[in-house]
Amino acid sequence: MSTSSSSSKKIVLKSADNETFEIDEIVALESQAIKNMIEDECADNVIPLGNIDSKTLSKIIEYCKKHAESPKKDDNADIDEKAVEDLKSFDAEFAKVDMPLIQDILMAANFLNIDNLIGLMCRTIADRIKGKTPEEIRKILNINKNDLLSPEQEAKAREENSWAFD
Amino acid sequence: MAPTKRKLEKTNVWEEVLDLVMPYIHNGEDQTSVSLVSRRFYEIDRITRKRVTVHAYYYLNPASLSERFPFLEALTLKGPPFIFNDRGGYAVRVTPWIEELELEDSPPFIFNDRGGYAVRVTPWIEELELEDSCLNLKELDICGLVVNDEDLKTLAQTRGMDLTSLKISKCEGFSTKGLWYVSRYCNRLRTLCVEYSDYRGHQVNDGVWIRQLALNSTGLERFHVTGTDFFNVEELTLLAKNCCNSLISLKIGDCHLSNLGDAFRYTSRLEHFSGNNWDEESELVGFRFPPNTRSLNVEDLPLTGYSIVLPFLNHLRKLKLVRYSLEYVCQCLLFKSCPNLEVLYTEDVCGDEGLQVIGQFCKKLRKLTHNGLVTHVGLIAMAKGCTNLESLNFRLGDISNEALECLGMHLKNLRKFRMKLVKKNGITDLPLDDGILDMLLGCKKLERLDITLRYDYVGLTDVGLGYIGKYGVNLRSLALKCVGNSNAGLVKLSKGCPNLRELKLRGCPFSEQVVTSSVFNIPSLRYVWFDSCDRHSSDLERSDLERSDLEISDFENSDHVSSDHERSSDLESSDCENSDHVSSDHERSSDLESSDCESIDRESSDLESSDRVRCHLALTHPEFELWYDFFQRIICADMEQVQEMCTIEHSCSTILADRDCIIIHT
Repeated sequence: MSTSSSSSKKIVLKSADNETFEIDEIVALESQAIKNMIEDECADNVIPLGNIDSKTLSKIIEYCKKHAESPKKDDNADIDEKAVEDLKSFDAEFAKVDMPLIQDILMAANFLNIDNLIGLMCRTIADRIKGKTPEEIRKILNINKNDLLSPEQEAKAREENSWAFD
Repeated sequence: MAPTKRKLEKTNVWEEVLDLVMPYIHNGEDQTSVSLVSRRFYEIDRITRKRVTVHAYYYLNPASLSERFPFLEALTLKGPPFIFNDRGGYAVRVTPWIEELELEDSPPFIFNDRGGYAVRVTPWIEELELEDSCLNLKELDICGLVVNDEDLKTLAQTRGMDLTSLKISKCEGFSTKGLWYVSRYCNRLRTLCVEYSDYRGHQVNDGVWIRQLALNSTGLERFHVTGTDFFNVEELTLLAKNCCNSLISLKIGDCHLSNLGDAFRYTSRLEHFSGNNWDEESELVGFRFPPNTRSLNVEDLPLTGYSIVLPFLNHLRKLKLVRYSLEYVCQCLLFKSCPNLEVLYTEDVCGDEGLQVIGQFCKKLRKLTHNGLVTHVGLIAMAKGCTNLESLNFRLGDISNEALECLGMHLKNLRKFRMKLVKKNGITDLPLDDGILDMLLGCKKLERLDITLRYDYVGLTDVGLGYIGKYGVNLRSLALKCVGNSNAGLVKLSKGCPNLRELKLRGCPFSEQVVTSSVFNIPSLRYVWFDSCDRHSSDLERSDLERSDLEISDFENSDHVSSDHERSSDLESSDCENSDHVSSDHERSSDLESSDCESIDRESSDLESSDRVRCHLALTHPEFELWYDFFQRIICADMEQVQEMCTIEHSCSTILADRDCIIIHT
C-alpha cells in the first residue's frame, strides 16, 4: 500500500467500511493517538479504524491536512496573522455540517485524540444550543422523547434552577 | 431488535458527546436548559457542574445542594439583594413573617444590631461540614450573609485543607477571631478576600490573624482585605516575604504607601495593587511600586505621586483614580501615557477634553467609569476612538441624540451602559427616544441599561420605552429613573425585552395597577423594584422627607443581574461589590469596577431620599387585592413599614403558607 513516490513517509488509514486513505505521516501526526502508535512502532502500514466510517474519516483528514500545513504557533513567535485568520475561517467553514456528522466527528476526534478538533466540535455544539430552550435543544440534538424527565422531576429541577442554583 | 439497539447506541453516544461538550457551556442559563432536556442530560449536568451560585436568601435547603451537584468545586452563597448597612439600611422588622414561617430551631433569618434582619450562612456551613457533602469543593464565596466566628471555625476545620479560594464580602457577624481559624487551617489558600464587611461590635485585630496567615501560607496569590480600620504593616510585610513567589494581587484598606516599601521589595510578582493614602512628598523618597505592576487603584494621587506612577503607566491595564488633585494638564498627560489601559475609573476634572484624549490614546479601553462631568461632545469623541468598549458609566451634564447614535454606530461590543443626567436645565436635545433607538440598533449585545434622568423634564417618552421593549432583546437588567409619560410606556416596554431578569423603575409615572399586571408579560423577569411616583408633587414629598428620618437607599450599589460568563482573569480579580443576585453565572467584577457606583450619587441624595418617600407613600396605603397577585408571583418585594399595614398582614400570611420563603423588606 505504501508508496515512495513522494519524499515524505505515508500512512494508510482504513475506515470501518473498509475504505483506505493514504496520507502524509505529518498529517497523521495531528492525531496524538496515531502519533503514539507510530512512536511505539505498533503501527503497521495500514491502521484500521474500525469505529470511524469513511465519511467521517475523510472530514477528519481534511481537517488534519489543513492544520498540518499551517505554521504552528510555537514554531514561530511572530506568526503570520493572515495564516491565523485563514485557519480560523477554514475552521468556521469546516464546522458548517449537520449535527449527526458533528457528533461523529467529535467522537472520532476524541478517539484519535485531536485536541483542536475536539475543541472546535464542542464549541460548535455549545454555540448551537446557546440561548435555546430545552425543547429547542431536544430538536437540535434529536433527543429521544422516551428519556424526558417526569413532570415532578422537571418541576423540582425548574424550581431549583430558578431561585436556588444559578 | 436492531433499531432498538441502534437507538440505545445513539443515546450512549450522546452521553459521551455531552461529557465532552459540557465544559464548553459556560452560561448558567444554557446549563439550566441543558439540564431539562432529558433525564440523561439532567444527570450529566448534575455530575459535571462545577460552579453554582445559590441565592441563600430565597432558598433554605442546603442539603439539596450536594444532592443535586455532588461534584461541585466552586460555590457562591449570596445574601439579600440589598445590603443592610448604614447607607442603605432598610429597617426590616421581620418577626411576624418568621413566626409565620415556623422555621426550625435555627432560623436562617436573624436580626442584626441595627434592627434589620439578615440571612445566616450557618445552615450552609453545617451542610459543608458533612463528610459526603460537596467533596470536591475548592472555592467558596460568601456574599451579603451573616457569618459567625463559629461558622468560620467550622468551615476552616472541616474544609480548610481543601479550599484554595475563600471570599467573604459584604458580610457581618464575624471578627478577626474567625479569620484566625481561616489562617490557621486553610493552608492551601491561593485566594483570600475579606472585603466590605461589617465588624461593628466585634473585636478587630488584624495583626494576629494576618501573622498566622503569613506563617501558614506560602502560596497566596490574591490577598484582599478591606474594611478594617487598622492595618499592621509588619504582618503584611511578613506575608509578602513568605508569599513572595506567588502574590500577584494585593488590596488593602487604609495604609500609607510609604509603609509598604518593605512589602513591595519582596513582592516582585505583584501586578495588582489597590490601596489608599498617599503620603506627603518627603515620606515617599525611594518608594517604588513592584516592577510588574499592571493595575493600580489609588486615592488622592498628588502631583508628587505622579513621578512614582509615571514609569508604570505604559504597562498599566487598569487604573482607578479617586479624588486625585492633579492639575488639568497632568491629568491629560496621564491618559496620554496609558496606551494599554483596559479599565479606567476616573473622577477627573478634564471633562470632555479628557474624554477626547482618552479616545485618542487609550484605544484598548474596555471599561470606563467617568465620575466627573462630561457631555455629548466628549462622548462622541471617545466612542469614535475606543471601539472596544464593553462597559460605560457616565455622569452627564448634557446629552444629545447624536451622541447616543454615535455609541450605537461605534461600540458594537457594548454590554453595559449607564448614564445619569445631572443637569436640571438647558438640555436642548430632548427627548432622547431616537438616540436610544439608534443605540439599541447598534449595540446589539447590550445587556444592562441604566438611564437616570430628572424629574424636571421628560427626557425619554413612552415612544422611547417602546423602542427599549422592541429592540432591547438581549437586555437582562434595566433600570429607569424619571422616564416615560404614562402607563402606556410601561405597557409597550413589557411587550418586549424577552430576556429581562431585573427591572427597576423609579420615579416613573406608572400606576401600581399597570406595574403589577404588565411585569408578568415578561416571563424571564425575576426581580422587580418599583417606586411609584407623582412627578408633580415631588416638592411636597421632599419636604415630608425632611421631617422623617428615613434612611437613604443605597440602590445604586446593587446589581442583581450578572450577564454572561465573565471569567476572572488576572486582570479581573473578582469581588462581590456589585452583588449580582440574579446572576446566571459568575460574573467577576473587576477591582476597579468594584466601587464604580459608590460615589455616583454623592451629591444627589436629596433626590434619592424623596424616592424613598414616594415608595413609602405608595405602599403604606396599597390596595392589597392588587398586590396580592403580585406577591404570589414575585418572591421578593420591597415595602416600607409593613408593620403599619395591619390589614394586609393576614393576607400575606396566606401567601407565606405555600411559599418556601417570602421576604418582605419593610
